[in-house]
Amino acid sequence: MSDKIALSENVTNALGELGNIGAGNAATSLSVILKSKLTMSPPHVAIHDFNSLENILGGPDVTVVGVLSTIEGDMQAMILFVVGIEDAKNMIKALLDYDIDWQSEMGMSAVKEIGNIIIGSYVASLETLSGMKIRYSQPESCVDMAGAILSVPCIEFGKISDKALLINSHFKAGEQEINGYIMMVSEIHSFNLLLNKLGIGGIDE
Amino acid sequence: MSDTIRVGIADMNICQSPDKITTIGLGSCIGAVLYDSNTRIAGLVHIMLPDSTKIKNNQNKMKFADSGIEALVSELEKKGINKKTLKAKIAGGAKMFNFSSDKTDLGSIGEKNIIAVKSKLKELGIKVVSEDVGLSYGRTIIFDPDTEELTVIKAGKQKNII
Repeated sequence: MSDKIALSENVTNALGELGNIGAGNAATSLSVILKSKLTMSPPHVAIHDFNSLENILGGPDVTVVGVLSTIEGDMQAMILFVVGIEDAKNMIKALLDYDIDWQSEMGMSAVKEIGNIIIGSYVASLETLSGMKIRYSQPESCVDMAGAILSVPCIEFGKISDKALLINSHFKAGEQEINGYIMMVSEIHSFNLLLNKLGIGGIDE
Repeated sequence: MSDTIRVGIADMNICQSPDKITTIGLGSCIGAVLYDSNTRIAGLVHIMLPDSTKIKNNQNKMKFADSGIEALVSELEKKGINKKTLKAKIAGGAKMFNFSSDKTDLGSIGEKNIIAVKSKLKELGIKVVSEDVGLSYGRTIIFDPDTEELTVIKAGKQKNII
């Protein structure tokens, strides 16, 4: 299995821009909730095989908090919002203004709600830009090894392909020291449907 | 000196004592270890999906329970090991996110993997000596063909030796 497929500049730019707007809107919503300024790095667009995917979150055995939602409708994908444990704690603190056990039901429901808002704004910009009709599922959260969490989109899209396309945006929230990733993962066919809607040639499937 | 051989997702490998074999971050996937006590050779396959016959894109045999276990057995047979002496230890097949949509099998894929792995092993006459499967947490596993112990590590580093 080759590590990466080269993407044309047009495709990379279009998907990067899409990720930028999607994650940008999501970050704006997040900065309102957290009452803090957010900085975003330009999104990274790449096709990964499953074994290289697990390294993007700092290694497959790093414990992270993931909030996942599935996208259905004109395209299929998964949106995953991932933060480290310290980041999750800071996020809960910023949201609730008081300390609680981050792994309590209340803490996890706060994380899920933040995930919900981020994923919701990501999907909304995706719909506006592409004109596609997309629904997203109620997000679910999970605290576990990065490899185990990322295996979920890998398995789902593993039915169709050995590779997944990933748009990954990294953000940082001012004083709160929150580092996180917003990623959209899908198989190449779904991204081709999306690229067609944007009027850009597709990727070899 | 001993090495620990790493197996990636939808991949397999073989090791011989004193080397160990590992796979990291099993979620709903299953790590199936097949080992032979005489030669102290062990193989590990990291499977993702239950059934290669239900999926069009099935060239990668190691991705599926049925074809993955067959591929590993045939690799071990190439080392001169008789299938009848093989034993198995398995781990993984968790339900990572609590989805209950009936449109995808997202919530039940771990369980389907467990059933598929066990039924393939039964069909081949390979006994499952021990297992740490299901529930809702990820697992890293390391097998030592010398002691025949499978160490299962959860997030947060708790260990379970099976």
